Amino acid sequence: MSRVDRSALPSTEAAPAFRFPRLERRVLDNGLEVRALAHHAVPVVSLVLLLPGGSSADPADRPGLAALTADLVDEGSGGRDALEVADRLARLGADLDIDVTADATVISMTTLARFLEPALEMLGEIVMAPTLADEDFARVRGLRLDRLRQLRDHAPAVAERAFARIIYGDHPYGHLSIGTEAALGAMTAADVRAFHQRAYIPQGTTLVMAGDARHADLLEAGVRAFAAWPSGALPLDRTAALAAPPLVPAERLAIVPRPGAAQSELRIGHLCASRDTPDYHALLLLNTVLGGQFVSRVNLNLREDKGYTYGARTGIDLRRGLGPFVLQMSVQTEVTAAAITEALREIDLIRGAKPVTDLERDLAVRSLTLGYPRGFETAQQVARSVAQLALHGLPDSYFEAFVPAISDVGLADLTRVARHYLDPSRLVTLIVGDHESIAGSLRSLNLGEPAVLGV
Amino acid sequence: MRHFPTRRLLSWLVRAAGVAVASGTFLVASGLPLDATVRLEAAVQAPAAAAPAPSTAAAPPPFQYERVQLPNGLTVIYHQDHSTPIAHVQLWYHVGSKDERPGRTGFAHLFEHMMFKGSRNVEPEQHTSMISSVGGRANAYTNEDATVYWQTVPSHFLPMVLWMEADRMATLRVDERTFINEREVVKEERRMRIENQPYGRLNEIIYANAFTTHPYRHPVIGSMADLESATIDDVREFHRTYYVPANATMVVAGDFDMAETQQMVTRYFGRIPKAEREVPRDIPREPPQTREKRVVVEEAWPLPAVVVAHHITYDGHPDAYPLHIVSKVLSDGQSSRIFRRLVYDTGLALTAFGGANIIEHPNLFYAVALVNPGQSVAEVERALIAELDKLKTDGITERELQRAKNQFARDYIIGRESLQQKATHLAHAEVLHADITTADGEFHIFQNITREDVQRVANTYFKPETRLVLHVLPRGSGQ
Repeated sequence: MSRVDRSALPSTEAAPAFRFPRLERRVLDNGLEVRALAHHAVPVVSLVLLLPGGSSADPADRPGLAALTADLVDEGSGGRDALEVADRLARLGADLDIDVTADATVISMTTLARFLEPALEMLGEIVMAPTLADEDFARVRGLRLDRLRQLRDHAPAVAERAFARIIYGDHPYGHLSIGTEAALGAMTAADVRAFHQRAYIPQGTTLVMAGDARHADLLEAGVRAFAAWPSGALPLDRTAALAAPPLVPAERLAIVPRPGAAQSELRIGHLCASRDTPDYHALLLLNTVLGGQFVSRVNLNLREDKGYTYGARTGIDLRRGLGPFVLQMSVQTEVTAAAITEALREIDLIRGAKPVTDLERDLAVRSLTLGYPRGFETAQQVARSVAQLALHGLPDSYFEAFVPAISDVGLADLTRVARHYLDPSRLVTLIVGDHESIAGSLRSLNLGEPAVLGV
Repeated sequence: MRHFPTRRLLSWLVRAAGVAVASGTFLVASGLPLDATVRLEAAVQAPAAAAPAPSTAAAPPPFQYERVQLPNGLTVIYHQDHSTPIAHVQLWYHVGSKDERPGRTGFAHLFEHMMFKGSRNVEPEQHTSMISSVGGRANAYTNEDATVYWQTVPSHFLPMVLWMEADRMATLRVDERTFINEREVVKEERRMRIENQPYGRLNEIIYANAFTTHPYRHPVIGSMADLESATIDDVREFHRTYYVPANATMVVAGDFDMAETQQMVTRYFGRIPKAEREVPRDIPREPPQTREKRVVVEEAWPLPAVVVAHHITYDGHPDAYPLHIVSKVLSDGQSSRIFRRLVYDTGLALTAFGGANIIEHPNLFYAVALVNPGQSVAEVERALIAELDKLKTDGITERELQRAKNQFARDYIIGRESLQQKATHLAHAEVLHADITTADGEFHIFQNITREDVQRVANTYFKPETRLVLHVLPRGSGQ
């Protein structure tokens, strides 16, 4: 074997510039916007319908209503019962996904390109004319209640729910889309029908179509399928969701006891920024260095150096309104306090005592920019990306401008955003774990007595 | 698995129930949040209405590839696709948990982690950092039969990936501190995936009771005690034995120049020496089960679980294809017969699911139901077995068969969209079927399955004497 073979890293040429496929659009009289892109890799077409609203549009006393409605729209529509809808989708080989996020309900369907017309017809029926029958409501609500009960035993779900509650309080972002047992128990089929009437309307809604067809054909098919959708009378009021949540959290340290748990599930964070922040690219880069990739500071420290966890990561959930910065990991029970100390230290250090270095910045810039085309490999990825542009009101040029914008972020910008957007004095630490085993060690954190929360 | 995929990990239980648990999402490169998805599956089974089923049975174009074997035994498969400027390298080593020695369960997976800890010319963790620095992604996973390393990079960084993969195939660095730390990481992985999950030990319990001899009786992640007793010498020995060219298959897929890349592969991999000895394949066989097995265990779970399992055949056996359809009809999602009967129609179970684990050696079909409060375990067992029996006596309808085929055709085409998916199909055919042509051939096999095939395999494999019935009761319930 020759050592010379592999001792030197092969050199490489410069990266080609990233080009996003051309987007064409049409706005219907009823207000629906249709966007189309050709994507010819395989004979597949992907449809994504974005309805603004999502779980933050849930009425205050009905958390979970948007998600329950989304769960019911394909249980019968256009005169077909649930059996027929399911059967027709299956026979088209159409894959229907419905996501309810904090800001939007996203209904997507991927199918073979030659089923474009029937797939659009199905999508139209599901969105415009769902039956929302009493008996389907009862069944689906029953299933959701069962799922909520199961989630009480699922530490990450318990943590997500408690953390949202602590940082947002009563704000519309303060609950998960699945809602609560009490609210689901109180809901009626009439609530669902009323919500559907207000939230499933063409105004503000975007249909994205990407796939193996010509722009004009895609647009025409989309227009035909949705031209008859009547404009709604009462669009959702989004003021509450976009209002500022409380900036100072109710608790700094909280625990949801889980006796005998093998691990502590942790969330550490605070409210941070909204998607329209002018510092978007700098924040993205900062997060990449701190905890957004495998070779980030927190993962290298907590996993690679200490062996406390299988993985530690940070993220900033950027929404229409103010979203949180969160560090998350699950650690062995006995190192809970030590892991929290290290995590808090890393967040503090990047703000100035140990600012982002040239090397770290370069690695993060390369990581974000060179791999950028990878995110647009399939028709579904492309369609979903365009739907996000619509949700956040971003220009068509956004994807092509991304790489230069990231490359422009300098070290001074990173330190500035770290100081501005990360605030150790507001960080909330939530633990889902064995309270009895760790209670003593938590005193070393100097965060006061933990608030003890229910599941 | 080496580290988290981008999507948050949910326990199988939550996935089986189709729940989105998180509203919290993470920034990724495109700035688009990755959300947990609520997948709405067809709620119930098809009625016997008459509309003709649209056929999706047009075969997709066959894979274009070139298969080359180097003199040292390394198999390389090249698949060109110039549609996106990226390249994907997927390297399979034909060693998984079924190759582990007694007392060393979990070692194949622990070893996978060590492959990121440096080689002669690559520093510990430099592999990940280099891939990241070029905007690539890399990860690895281990299952019962194979250990797979993959990376996707902008295509002009393909040489770097080949260079790094060759370096860690040829040489491996191991030092005591790294090894001990990584063992802790893997122990946390076990705690996270198994011990801190509701019903996380269910798979272990099923396999430990269904198998007596074959190493499939052990979980891929291994036991804590075995992880603890693994040594650095084990790491060296494992690399020498299994990480040899003749035991490896590499797929290079994407936007690259064929002649240049083949030359590069020869340069980096060609001089890795042949193994000194054959790769051991003396895996103990499972003796046939000749009597029904009934087992009752207790676990600290909130609700009882009932499992009905049967020994079935291996991946590539002609019966395996109709068995996939059996599995789809019986237990795949909320439209499946078992879910419909136990959850929708009778309310006996909170949830019910299952599937056929069709892998390299004969494995299991199993169905699981979580018993609703107030319902009887015996009744749930009867209902599960009745659904299997019904398939033996009545088979499936033409409509169910056509639906299963259409869904299969859809999955087949959509499942071959990305480079990584294509590479996985090619490598799977080459390594586990020892026949790369099956990467294409299976489409037609599926489209030609008949109702008689489905009924026949149900009768072949769902015999009382090959059955395991397992009741997992809440601890101290004395039920």
